Amino acid sequence: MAVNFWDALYAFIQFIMVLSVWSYLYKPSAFSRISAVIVTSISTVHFLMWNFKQVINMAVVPMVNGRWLYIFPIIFGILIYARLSKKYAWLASYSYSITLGMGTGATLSTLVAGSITGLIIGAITEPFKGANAFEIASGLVLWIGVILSMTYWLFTVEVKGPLEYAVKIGRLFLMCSIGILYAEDIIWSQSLLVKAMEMVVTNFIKKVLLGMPV
Amino acid sequence: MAKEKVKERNIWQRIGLLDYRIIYTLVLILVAIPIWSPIGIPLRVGQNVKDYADALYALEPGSVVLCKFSGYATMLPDVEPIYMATWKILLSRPVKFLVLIQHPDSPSIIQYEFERLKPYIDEYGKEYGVDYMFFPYISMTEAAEISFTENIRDIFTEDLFGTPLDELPIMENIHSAHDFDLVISMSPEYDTRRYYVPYRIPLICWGTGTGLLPFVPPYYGYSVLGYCGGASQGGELELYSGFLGEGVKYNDAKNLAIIGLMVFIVVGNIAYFGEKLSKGGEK
Repeated sequence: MAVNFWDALYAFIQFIMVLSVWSYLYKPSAFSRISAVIVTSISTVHFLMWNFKQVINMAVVPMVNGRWLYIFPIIFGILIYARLSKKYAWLASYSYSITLGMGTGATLSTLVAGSITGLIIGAITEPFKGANAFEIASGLVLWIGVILSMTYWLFTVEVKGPLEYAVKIGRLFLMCSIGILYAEDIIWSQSLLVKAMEMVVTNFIKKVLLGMPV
Repeated sequence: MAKEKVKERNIWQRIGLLDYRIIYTLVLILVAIPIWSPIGIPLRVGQNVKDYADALYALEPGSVVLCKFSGYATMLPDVEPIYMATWKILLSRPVKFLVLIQHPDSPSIIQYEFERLKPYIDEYGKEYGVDYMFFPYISMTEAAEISFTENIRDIFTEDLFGTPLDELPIMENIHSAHDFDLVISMSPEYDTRRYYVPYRIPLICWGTGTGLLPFVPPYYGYSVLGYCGGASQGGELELYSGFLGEGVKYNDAKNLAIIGLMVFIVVGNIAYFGEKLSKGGEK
C-alpha cells in the first residue's frame, strides 16, 4: 500500500522524535535534549501566539470598535508586567486583587451548596443506596472510611484510647486513596507510552517501512 | 575492586539492583506486541461508563448538550477514545451539541477529530451550525463563565470560524445555561458549582484517568450521572456503545504493560523483604 510522501515524512519525524526522547531512558544524550528543546519551544510559542491573538480579538478589536470599557482589562493586564520592575511591582497587586476578588466571589457564590452541603448529604446517603447486599456492604465500608479518615485531621484533641485506632485506620484509608492517585498517574503515563509506540510500530514500521495496511 | 563488590552481593541485592534499562526494554516489548498484533484481552464495562453512555442515550430529541472540551496534545492518548466515542454517540442521536473549547490546542484538535468523523456526520445527516457548533477558544475564568451561563452572547459573538452566532441555526433558541439539558464536564467540582447548583443541569464527566477518576466519585450520584476517564474506560465506552476505535486496541497494550510492571513491583518487593530477612531484620 503506497503512502504519500508527506504522510511518510510526518511518520518519519514522529519516529525520530519518539526515539530521541526514549534515548533518555538509556542515558541523557544530545538527541533527547534536542527533542525536549524542540517540544518546549514549540509549545511556548504556540501558547504565546494563541493568547496574544485572544487579547487582540477579545479586547483590542472591540475597544477600537467603540466598546471603550475594554480599555480597563487591557490596562490591568499590562499592569501585571509591572512585576518585572522592582520599583513599580506594587502596581501589579491591583490586577491580582481584582482577579482574585472576582474569582473568590464567583467561587463562594455556589461553593457551599456544591462542594460542602451537597457532598455531606451525598456522603451520608449514597453508601446506603446500593442495589444489592455487596454494594451496600461496599458503601458501608466507604462510609466508615470517610468518618475514620476525618479523624486523622483532628488536631484539637489528644489522640489516645479508641481515637488512636480510628486515626490509624483512617490513615490507611487515606494511604489507599493516595495510592490510587499514584496508580492513575502511572496509567496515564502508560497511555502516552502506548500512543508513542503506535507512532513507531504502526505509523512508521508497518505503514511506511513495510507498506502494510493498518 | 568493583568486581569484588559485585561478588559480595547476595541474591536479593542482585535482584533489587536489576538494571533499570532491562525493565524499560521489557516494558517496551510488552507494549509493542499488542500494537503489532492485537491480542483481544477481555474488557468489562464498568457501571460508571454505562451510566455515562446511558445519560447520552436518554436525551430527549432536540436536547442541547454543552461539551466542555479541553483536548491538548499530551492528554490526547489517554482521553481521545472517550472523545471520539462520545462524538459518535452524540452524532447518532437527534440532539444538538455545543463545544466549549478551553485550551489553546483544542481548536485544531476538534477540527482534526471532526474531519475523521466525516463518515459518521454524513451517515447520520448532521450539519455544522445546525446540529453542532464550536465556540472559539478563550481563557475562561470563573467570572467569565458566570457571564457565559447568564448570556452566551456576552462572551461569544461568533463561532470558531468567525460566523456570527445569530447566523447559526443551532443558536436560534439557545441564549443561556437555562437552555442546556446536559453538560459534559472535565471538572466535576467546578461544573457542579457552575451548572448543577444554580441551574440544576446534570453533568456527565470525561477526562484523563489521573485528572478525573480520583476526584469524581464524591459527585457521582449527586450532580454527576456517569463518568468515563482514561483510555481504558474509553475502550469500555467504545465496547458499550458499539463504536469501536483505538481505545479497545490501547487496552491490550496497557494491560500487558501493567502486568509487566506488576511483576517487577512484586520482584522488587520480594528482593526488599528477602534482603531484610536475610539480615535478620538488621537495618
